[in-house]
Formats: sequence, C-alpha cells, structure tokens
Amino acid sequence: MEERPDSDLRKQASPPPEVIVFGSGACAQKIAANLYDHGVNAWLAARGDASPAAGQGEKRHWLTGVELTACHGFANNFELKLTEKGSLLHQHVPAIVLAEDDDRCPNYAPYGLSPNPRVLSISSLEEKMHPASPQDLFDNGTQIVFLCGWHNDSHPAIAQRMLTACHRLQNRSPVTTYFMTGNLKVAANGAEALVHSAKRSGALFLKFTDNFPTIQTRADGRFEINYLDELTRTDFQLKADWIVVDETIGPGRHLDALAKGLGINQDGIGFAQSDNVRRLSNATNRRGIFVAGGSRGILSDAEQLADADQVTLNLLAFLNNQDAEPLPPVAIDRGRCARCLTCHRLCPHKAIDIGDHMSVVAEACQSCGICVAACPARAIDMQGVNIGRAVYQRIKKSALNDGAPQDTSQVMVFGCTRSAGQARALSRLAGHRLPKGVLFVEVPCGGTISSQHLLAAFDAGADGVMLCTCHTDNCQSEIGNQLARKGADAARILLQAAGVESDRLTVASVAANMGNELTFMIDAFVDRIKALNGS
Amino acid sequence: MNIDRKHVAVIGAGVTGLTAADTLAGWGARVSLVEKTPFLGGHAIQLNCKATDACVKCGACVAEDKLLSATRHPHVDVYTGTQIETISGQRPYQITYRIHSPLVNADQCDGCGICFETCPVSGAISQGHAPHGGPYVAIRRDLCRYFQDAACTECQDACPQGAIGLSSQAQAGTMQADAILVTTGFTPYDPSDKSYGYGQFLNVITSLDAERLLREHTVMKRPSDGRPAGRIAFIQCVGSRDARLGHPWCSKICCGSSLRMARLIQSRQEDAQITCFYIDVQTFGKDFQPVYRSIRDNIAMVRAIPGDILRTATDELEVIYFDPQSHASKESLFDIVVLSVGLLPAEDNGPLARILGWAPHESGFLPHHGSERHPAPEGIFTAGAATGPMTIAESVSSAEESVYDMVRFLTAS
Repeated sequence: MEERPDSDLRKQASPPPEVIVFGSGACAQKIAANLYDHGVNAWLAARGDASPAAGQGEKRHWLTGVELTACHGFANNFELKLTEKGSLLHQHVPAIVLAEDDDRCPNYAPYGLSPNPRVLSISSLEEKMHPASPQDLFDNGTQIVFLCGWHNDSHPAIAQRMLTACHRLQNRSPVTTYFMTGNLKVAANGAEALVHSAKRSGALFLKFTDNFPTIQTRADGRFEINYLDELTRTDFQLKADWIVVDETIGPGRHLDALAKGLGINQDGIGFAQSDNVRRLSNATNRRGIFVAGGSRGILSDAEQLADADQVTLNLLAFLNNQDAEPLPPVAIDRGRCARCLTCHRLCPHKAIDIGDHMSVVAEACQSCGICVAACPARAIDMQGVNIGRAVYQRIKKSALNDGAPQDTSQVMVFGCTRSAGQARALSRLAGHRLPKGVLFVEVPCGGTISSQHLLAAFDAGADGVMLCTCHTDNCQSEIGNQLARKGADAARILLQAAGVESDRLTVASVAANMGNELTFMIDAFVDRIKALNGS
Repeated sequence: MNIDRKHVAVIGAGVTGLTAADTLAGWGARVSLVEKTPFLGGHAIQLNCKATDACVKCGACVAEDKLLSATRHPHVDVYTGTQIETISGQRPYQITYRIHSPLVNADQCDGCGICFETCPVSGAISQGHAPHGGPYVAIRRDLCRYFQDAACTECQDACPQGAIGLSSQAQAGTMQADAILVTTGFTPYDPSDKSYGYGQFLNVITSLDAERLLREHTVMKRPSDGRPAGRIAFIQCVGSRDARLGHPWCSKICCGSSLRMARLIQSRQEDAQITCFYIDVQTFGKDFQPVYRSIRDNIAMVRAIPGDILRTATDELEVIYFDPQSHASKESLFDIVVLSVGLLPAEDNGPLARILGWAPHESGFLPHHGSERHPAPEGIFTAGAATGPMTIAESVSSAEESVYDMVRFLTAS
C-alpha cells in the first residue's frame, strides 16, 4: 500500500473513509485527488470506459462501465448497488459526490446550418488548436466566422472560449475573423479586455438585435452570409471559408438516471441541483450527497476546478461531523403509525426509513416538519415544536392581557424561521412594531403548518390568519411552501362551509430580507380583517 | 486537517467575508472579522428581494443567512467601525487597527428614525444590521458632514433620546493572525462626472440608491417630490466597459439586477413604463432565456447608451440618445433615471496591498492569492469581489474555495 501523507482526520483509529465520486472528468478527478490528500479513499465511478491517464491511476480507484442500480441508506451510511461492466458491486459509503461532466452540443440548427466539414463546433476548434500552432491551421487569407448566441443568448462560459479562440487565431495566424453575435457575453473575467484586444488585431465584431443573418452554403462547401448591418443600415454579404458555432451546455446524458437513482432534485434543465439559492454552492436536498462541476450547472472549466476544492472542503466538514447543526429531533410514534408511507413520500430530504417500523433517520433529517404536518395519524412529533398548543396559548394569552373587551381584531401570522421570522426581526430593528392584536408564530418551515393548524387558529378566536412561506424555489425544504398553500386551500373550503369568509385566510411569500414589505403586508391584512369585522 | 487554536483575520464583512468567517470558525479557527463601516453585509445586504411570484435567484437573502450564521458563531469576533492601520511583515502577523466607537449609543437609541429624516446627506445615516445587538442606526464617517468641517450637528441636536455623540474618540488595538483573508469587496462607481446630472438632478439616482428607495417605500417614488414614478429609465454600463475611464471590464451583475428590479417595480406599480438602455444584455440565472423573454416583452429595450440628460422645469428628465430603430437622435421624458453603476476595485485595495507589500492588478482589483504572476505573500489570501466583479453566488463559492486553501495552509504551517 502506498504511503499516505499525514492526515489529521479525527477518526484515525478507524480505516480511512471511502467516498464515491460519480464522474471521470477534470472536476471529478480533482475531487478524488484532493480527498486522497486528506486521507479519504475516493472511488471514481465512470459510466464509460475512461481509463486513468498515465500516472494518475495509483492515486485513486477507478470503476469503469459503472451504472447505478439502486441507492439505499442515508447520510453516513449509503448502500450503493452498482454494476461494473455487468457484474454486481456493493459499496457502503458515508458520502457521495455527483461530478459528471456536462454535455456540450454544437449549435447548428439555430444558425440554419447542418453538420458540415467546414462548420466546426468550438470544442472541435479547440481540439484542433491544442497541439497545433495557430498559423499552421488555416491558409493565408482564410475568413473564419464565429457564430455566438443569436435568437437564443449564449453564456459567458461558452462565449469566453469562442472569444479566446477568435483572439488567438486573429493574433497569430494570417486569417480574418468575424464574430457575429446577438448579445456579446462579456461577464467573465478578462472577457471585455479580450474583445478589445481581438478588435485591435483586426477581428470584426458584428452585433444583431432583432434581425439576424441568413447563411447559404455554396456548392464548393463555403458560405455566404447575408445580413443587415445595424450601424449603417446597409445590406452586406460576407463570404466565409469556415464557420465556428457555439455550443449548448446541458446535463450529461446519464445525469438524469443518476440523480433519480440517488433521490436528488434536479433543476428545470436537468442539472442535479435545484435552482434554489439555499443549495449554494454544492449542496443537494440530501445530506451527505454533494454535487459539483458540470453536474450542477453551466460552469467554465476554471469554475469547475474551483468547485472541486469547495466540495472537498464541505465533504471533509461533513465527514468530520462539523456541519451538524443542532436540530430538534423528529420521532414517529409506532403505536399511532399506520404505515401509510405519506411521510416517506413527502420527505424532501429522503430521511424516512421504511423498516420493520417507520423511523426518521437523524443523520438525514433536517427538521422541516413536513412529515409532522402531513401525517394523517398525527404520529410524528418534533421535539419542542407543538404548533397547535402554541396557537391556543398565544390567543388565550392575548385575550387575558387585553382585559378590555375584544375590540382589537386578533390576527395570527405564521412564518418560518428562514424567511418571515428573519424579516420580522429585521423590521423590528428598523423600529416597526406589529399592530395591536397581531400574534406571530414562528415555525421551522411553512410546510409544518397543516390545514388543522390554520383551522385551530380560527377556532381559538383568530379573526384572520396569515400564512407566510418562502418564495417558490426558495424553500429550504423544496416543497414546504407548496404544501403550506395546499393546506390553506383545504382550510379555506372548510372555512367557507362553516360560514367564515375565505378572505380571512391569506397566504403570502416572503424572503428574509423583506423587513419593510412584511410590515406593510401585515398592516394591509389587518386593515382588511378590520373591515370584514365591520369596524 | 486541523486548525484549532489558529487565528485568522478576515478583512471585510460583506457576503464573502461573512461566509468565510463562518466556515473558518466551523473548522475550529478563531476568527476576527474586521469591518470598516458600522454595518455588516457589505453591498449585498442592501439589495431588495426581487421576487414577484417566485424567487428570481438574485441571492440577496443569502447575505442575511450568512450574516446570522457568522455573527452567532462563538468563534467569530466581530469588529465594526474598524480600520486596519498596519500589518507586520512576518507571520504570525501583527495587525494594528483603530476602532471608531459607535456614534449612536445602542442602549439609548430606540429606532425612532428622526436622525435619519433630519440628516441632509443621503446615505450618511443608515439603518441596518449590527453585530450582537449593537446600534442598528449608524452614522457613516465617510459621508457625514460633521467629519468634514464640524459644522453640521443636526442629528445630535434632533435626537430625542440624546443617543448621538458625534465627537467620540477612536480606540487603537492590536491583534495577531496566522493567516489573513482579504475580502474588501468593491466600490460602486460614482457617476457624478458623467453628463447625466447625478448629484444635481434629484431624480437621477444610482442602482444602489434605487435599492434604498425601494426598501423604504416598496414602490419607486420621485426623490424630488415623493410622487410615484411612472416612467423609469435604466441606463446600463455606467462606469463599466469604459476604456477611457480605465475600466475595461463588465461588472457582471448590473444587467441581471436591473432587469429583475424592473420586473419587481412593474409587479408593484401597474402603470410603470420602463425603458432599459443597454449595450449587451448579460446572462443571469440558470434558466435565462424564458425569464429574459418575459421581462423583455414588458419593457422597452433600447440598444443605445444615452449621451446627455437634461432636467425640465417640472423635474422630469429628458434623456437624449441615438435611437437604433429610427436611426435618429431622440429625446424621451422620464420621472426617474436609474444609473446602473459599475463595480470598481475597493478603495482599500491599494492601501492594503501596500501595507502587505503586494501589488494589485493594473485594474486595481487584487489578484487571486494563488495567481502565478502576482502570488500573494505567504499567509495572505483573497476572495470575493475584491478580486473582480462577482455575483453573490460566485462570492459564496469564492469564499469556500479560499477557505479550503487557508485550512490546508494553516494545517501545514
């Protein structure tokens, strides 16, 4: 066995932890190399037959031809069933990293082109330019046209590569380059300077807003590009010998299956991380599973390597148990549980174990309270959190304190710690007080509030109830806000049946930094309730 | 990796510094988080939530989260109103600093806001987060008139609680650090020199002014008379992509910010008519195209940067530009013009770099500590917008990446 560098990991007595990294590209390799340096055995699981480049094999373990069959278990204790070139493989790992490369697809159709020997994708051009010196690639006087983001905008990560290639060719070879784009993407470090430099070397930049060029392929395989120049408002025709097209970067082909197999939420495009700022930078909805590089979004090559370092940091913190926040434990009462599996189905963090008895796995649970609210048998309890009781106590206390007859409307506002709770603290700092009669109940997540709680508030004497959740796509528990809304919809139906105006119950979405807005919203709601009360 | 009992100084408590401080403390280090203004959160904390029906992923709320985590961590010591004076050349670094004691007494201040209303300088008194329950109203020495000529004492005279003491002494101090992380962020471009009338025309404001306005009133009101603003213009790239000014870079975040702000304003003010003057729209967010399209359909996108702005007798703004559609010069009237100012290197970068014996880039931004051409002195690290314009998401990543380097460095040293 190779000698490992001195590792300061706290658990020195036990064998080094093993981690699986799905992926085989630069990002995945860097993660594995980093982890190795810190005494963690990282297994690289690649779908294809990518073999380690010379000199890198000894440092990590490679599994090739790998497919994920199933993932069971939870943080610190995942059981992966894989097939490696057809044969079954079991891996028991505390943590998993998803770092598959993205998929780069050349854009032909957006430019009215088909694959053609004289049309190069930026990746192919980069490959050609890599070993060769630029001046040997193209003949003197060749016209090369770069097409970057017309009807559909490009992305800085891609534009940067196009600009770099354009600049290099213009600067160091006897060609003339043209860069035809819609919005020129310069929001990457050094991009603007690169554009200036390319222009100074003779590259021509042509921008289009509403009308885009049309391209004809001639019999000799070269191109005629007709366009209306926006500056001079004149029609021009450009003859191109070569065309370089940009690419659309998307999730790798196997990412979907992997994400679903691991129980990881995906964004609207298919990358294995929800488009939710709370997941920044490399977290997923499941504790112990991290996502990096081309698996989490469109990242430049440099960003992907940086991602590898970030993930290493967070993964090591996880293995060292440093990231454990003290969260109230959640437990399922066996006596009441009917094994309906609602909790298991709803849990956004996949933290419910179906064993001989249903149980909440502490390592994976993030104490959102969704299962507590959703359990039809009310069999689940979060320590220290009893919303029903809080509701009755708050309203009772308010009634007692007032002394005077109830001429103040009682409005109950539910808000979660991550948004409304913080917004309220912020508004307090700014000197805003809640109107008289408003009772604020802070909960772990909007999803902790069930329709029962809302009805309980009215039952206890509230004239109005406001339920504040995080915005769509901003919920720490992914779906807490949706479930809260569903609960409110259900409560409204019952309220209407009981003769209570449905306007008395409202749902609003808030963010942590909306101090003033929250106050305005509550004030406005209290006014509406007063009007309904007839005062 | 073990960094218990190591001491780290983080200079600058914006979203990058807060993220780094929290992460380093989590790894066991003792962190001194040093901030020159009275407030934590930098610029990110001043941004409004731009959500309408759903989150638009600007990341502003992340700054609040990071602030809470960092200030609650027992291993993080927060120093506000603190300016670094010297840093010795060897490790462990000896850092001398000067703490400006708070001008507003936290125990006496009750947040009535009278000082805020009385102050003649916009932005000199602000309300915001303070560490460990300190004053949430604070006076900025760099903007306050008293610190220029001792002439103005309006706030002190007006405060009913007597909580303001403008003539307070600074205290000196020293601390030791095994490593230093520089997260000084950026300075917004001051557009007073542009022919847009900023500083003279009340209704010409910067993007940050607009954020403050929205935060206070939730709708856009004309600063000149408080009436709701119907016609609003955004001018992009003010101070950015400008070789003549010596700013040949794109500030990255302004297109995304302005378009999101435009969308927010429209959702709150039905009659708002918004025009956006731009050069190239920069990408933002994961699913860019559909969101961009929906915004574009509701505002007028004009691919031209205006030359001059004139003020009418009724405080409206006449914006003069070359209209690409009609191919002729055009004037349009607006109630408010928002200048999307660029991100310039932090003013402290130069002095700090000098103290450290390190040269910043030509641009004024600090190199990344691992830069091959301008490596930082040993034990000095950089992260965030101090190295170049960054979004909030990128700043968080940058902080984590630098912390990784620091933890390895501190473990080995």
